[in-house]
Amino acid sequence: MKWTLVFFFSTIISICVIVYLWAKLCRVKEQISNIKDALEDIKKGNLNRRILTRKSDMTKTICYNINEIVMNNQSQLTKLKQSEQAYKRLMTSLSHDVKTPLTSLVGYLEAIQEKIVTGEEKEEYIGVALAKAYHLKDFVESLFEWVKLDAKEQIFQFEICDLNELSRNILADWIPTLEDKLFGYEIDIPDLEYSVYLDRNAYVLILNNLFQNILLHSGGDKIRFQIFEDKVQAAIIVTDNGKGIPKKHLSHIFERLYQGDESRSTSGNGLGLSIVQELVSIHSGMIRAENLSHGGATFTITLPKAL
Amino acid sequence: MDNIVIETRQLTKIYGEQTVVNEVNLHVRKGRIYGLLGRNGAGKTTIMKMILGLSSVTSGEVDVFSQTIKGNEKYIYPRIGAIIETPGFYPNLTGTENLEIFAKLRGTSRPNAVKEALGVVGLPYRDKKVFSKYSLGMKQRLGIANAILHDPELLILDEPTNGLDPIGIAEVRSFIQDLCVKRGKTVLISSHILSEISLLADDIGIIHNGVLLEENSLAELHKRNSKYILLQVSDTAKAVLLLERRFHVKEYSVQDTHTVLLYDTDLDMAEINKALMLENISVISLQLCNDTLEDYFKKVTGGEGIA
Repeated sequence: MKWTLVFFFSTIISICVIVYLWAKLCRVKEQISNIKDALEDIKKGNLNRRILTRKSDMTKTICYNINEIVMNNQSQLTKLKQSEQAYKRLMTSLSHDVKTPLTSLVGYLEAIQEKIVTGEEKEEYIGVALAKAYHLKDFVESLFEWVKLDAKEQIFQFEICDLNELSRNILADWIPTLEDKLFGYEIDIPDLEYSVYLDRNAYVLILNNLFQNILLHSGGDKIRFQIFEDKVQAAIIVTDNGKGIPKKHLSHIFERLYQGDESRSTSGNGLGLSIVQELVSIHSGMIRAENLSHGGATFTITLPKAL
Repeated sequence: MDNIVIETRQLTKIYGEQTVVNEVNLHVRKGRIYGLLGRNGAGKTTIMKMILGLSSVTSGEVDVFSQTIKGNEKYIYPRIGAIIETPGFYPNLTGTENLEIFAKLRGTSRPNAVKEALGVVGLPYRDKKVFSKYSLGMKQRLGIANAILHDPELLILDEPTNGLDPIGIAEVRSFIQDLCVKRGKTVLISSHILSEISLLADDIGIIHNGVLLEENSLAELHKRNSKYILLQVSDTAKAVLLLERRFHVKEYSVQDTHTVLLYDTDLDMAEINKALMLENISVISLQLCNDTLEDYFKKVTGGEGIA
């Protein structure tokens, strides 16, 4: 009697265990078939596919790991695709940016060659044609600069420089141009020495491009250059009193070939600021642009102090 | 086609005698943001509900991931994330607890999916506030978090910015763009606000009284609807010279050997034509294009326009 009871209970327990294990097996089987389907899809190139799993599943670590691998692959692929697209866009807009001034240049030269204009007017035509040729040359040069940066082929010579001294020298070169263009200026650079680890040529290019940008696009007549320094970093602030940057353009101005001026009128080439950003980031710095409430825009570059 | 994520064929929905959706052929392409634009009651939500199987289809077919929905629900729906109208959550549980329930039901692709999803929409993890005490904006954010919880390939968002403040709207917009650009997701989004869709979408479908009136890429629509004068002439170099000298045109771009776009639409086109003729430059065409996107939508919807 006692033994039959024991036997009865042990049978029930074994049946329960078998049912439980069977259910578990079915669940794992289903999971594996899910994983198989998803992997098939991923193999075909759908890197967006994820394998969903519950916290109680036996296969969860495998799923999490597969998902992570796929996600990493995908983000790399997207980066590649983005730069590919950027190059494509660069090429199309390039052909326009070159074609427009070139066509106009040809027009002027033809007029001169065909003797449609003579005397003083001819001289003027030659002047205009030359200016256009210079503009094209500038464009090609900044393009070259930019391509070198983008392809990471530029070799930098980093050294410890006195940021204040270097800035003063660059500004001294700019003053005649500013006066020539009737720009007022206000310069505030600390007298102390402040060491920053940078490439001199790159820093010159950064400031030149920023100033060029303000002269061409701000529409203002005043420029303020300030440097603030503390124990960890220096902030270089360039402010103008122009019309500011329209809100819809503000987040794009550092993109290559982005021109706030949709008409792509002949001044400027949309490369200057993207070169600036690239160079600043190579110096482990940051750049941002803001509009001032009373008009005008301000560019702030921060560079870390050399240790 | 491999590139189409959602395709509907002759999709129709009839409630009683009223045809709410009338033979809609929608094509949502992979990795793009598709904006469904229409006024209130145009049928946007009904289309989304039919795609998600939340509303029965009167006639027509829906393909998602190149499979018909019928019979494949189990494989298709886990790959979609959606918000339709106000999402249903348990009012007496906190946001985190609500999402954990969904994570358990649906499975997730990462170990700490709930925390990450809440982080993305800017809600606190393990906060004590229960759902019924949430503001409309917070509810909407939790809905978005729920939609992205399992890192789906396709997101279907029905007016996701409803009830959000302007900053929240901008956040959601940039977040959706990131999902698409950086992570290759496909997004179907609906809205009745033209300006919002035009900032976000790659492709646009305009729906009016249940009929899909137009389906096109935004770039194409923009190209068709910007302000410029299109000038086609035999010799662009000569034409550009004339325009520069006599009409002081500065904002133009040369498209190809015969086409110039002038961005100043106030120019006297008759005078330009006459001057070009007198200089022996034959004019193939000269036309003013100055429709705005808004004008265009008004035209498409038969004068009623879109809010």
